[in-house]
Amino acid sequence: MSSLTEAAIRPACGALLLVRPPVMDHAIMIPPEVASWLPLAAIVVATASMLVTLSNRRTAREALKISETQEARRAARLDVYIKDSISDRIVEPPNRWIIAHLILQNPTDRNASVSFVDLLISYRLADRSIELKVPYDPDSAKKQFSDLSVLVTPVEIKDNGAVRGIVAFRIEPELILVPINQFQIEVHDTRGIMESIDLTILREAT
Amino acid sequence: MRSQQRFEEYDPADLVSIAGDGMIAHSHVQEGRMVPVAILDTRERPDIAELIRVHSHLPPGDHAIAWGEVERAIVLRINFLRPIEARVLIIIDVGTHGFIIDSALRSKAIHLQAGQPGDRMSTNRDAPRIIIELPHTGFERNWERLYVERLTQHIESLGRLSGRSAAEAAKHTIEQMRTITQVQM
Repeated sequence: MSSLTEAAIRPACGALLLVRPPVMDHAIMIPPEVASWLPLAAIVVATASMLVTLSNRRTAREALKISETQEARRAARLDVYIKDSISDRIVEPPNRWIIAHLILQNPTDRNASVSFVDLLISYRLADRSIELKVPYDPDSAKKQFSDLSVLVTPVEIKDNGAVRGIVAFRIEPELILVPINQFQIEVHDTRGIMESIDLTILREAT
Repeated sequence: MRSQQRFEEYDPADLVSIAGDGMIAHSHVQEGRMVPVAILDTRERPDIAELIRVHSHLPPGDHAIAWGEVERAIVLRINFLRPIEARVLIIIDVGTHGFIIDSALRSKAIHLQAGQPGDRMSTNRDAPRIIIELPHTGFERNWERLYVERLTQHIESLGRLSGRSAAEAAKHTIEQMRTITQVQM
């Protein structure tokens, strides 16, 4: 019988292969009182495993949140606030000055630089909306309001830092000949960010 | 940068024609070269008239230019960025206003004035005007050939000359115009 089997599986190349069925020499015997606890133990292990997995998931989520927050703080951003604003009509020379007290915040982990500031004046002309940009000139503002803390642009803002100062825009009497709809301030930084903010409360200086 | 492009997509409302023309030379402007004046028909574009008007009360603005073609007409496209954002496509007929392009390319500048048909520089001397700098775009390389070609076609369309004699007349006209437009103070 054995010789038949060997002959049946002898390959053509002449190598001898022997196939033996596995033999169970010793059976594992589990006592009945232990066997009754096995399902419960399996449930306990599975539950513990699930708790560990959930804990890891929570940790990973927190880590991701921290990473995203850190990344967001590295992303370019500029916050602009207006502390106060007034309109001052000066008789000699006859100009109107639009003055605003700005606070510029850089809530990121990198330095920033504000390069220039514009006053955007909106009005209508022959059924068309016109948006006129009046550039901020720190030199003329300093000359006119030497007693004020005038913002000198360009200005660097350190990471997580802020600067503040007065910006004043001169509007010649002949510049705009129709009623004005709105004033806005546009702040541009060197990273290409432009933040605009409405000048909604504009008191007349007395 | 493409030297001259065909403006396939444009807003017809941006097209503005030339209502009048002229030349100005000032010793302190563009080395005393003759700078052409284009009086634009701004009846439908009050924003452009306003842009020209407010310029005299504000520091210099910003703009970007490109030369191109719209339906075989030469067009100067100006994108104004400051003090007012606006776009204008000035249609310049080479047959009647070729000298404006020619002298604008040579002086690298053009004056713009708002107006309407019938306006003349002589009757609107104090009208607000802005000067637009025209940097080199590569359009200049094609201009000489284009000028002769389009002016020849214009002369032929008048029906008096044709072919070679029209081309000769075009070259002669250009030479004559340049004796005036190339004056430098």
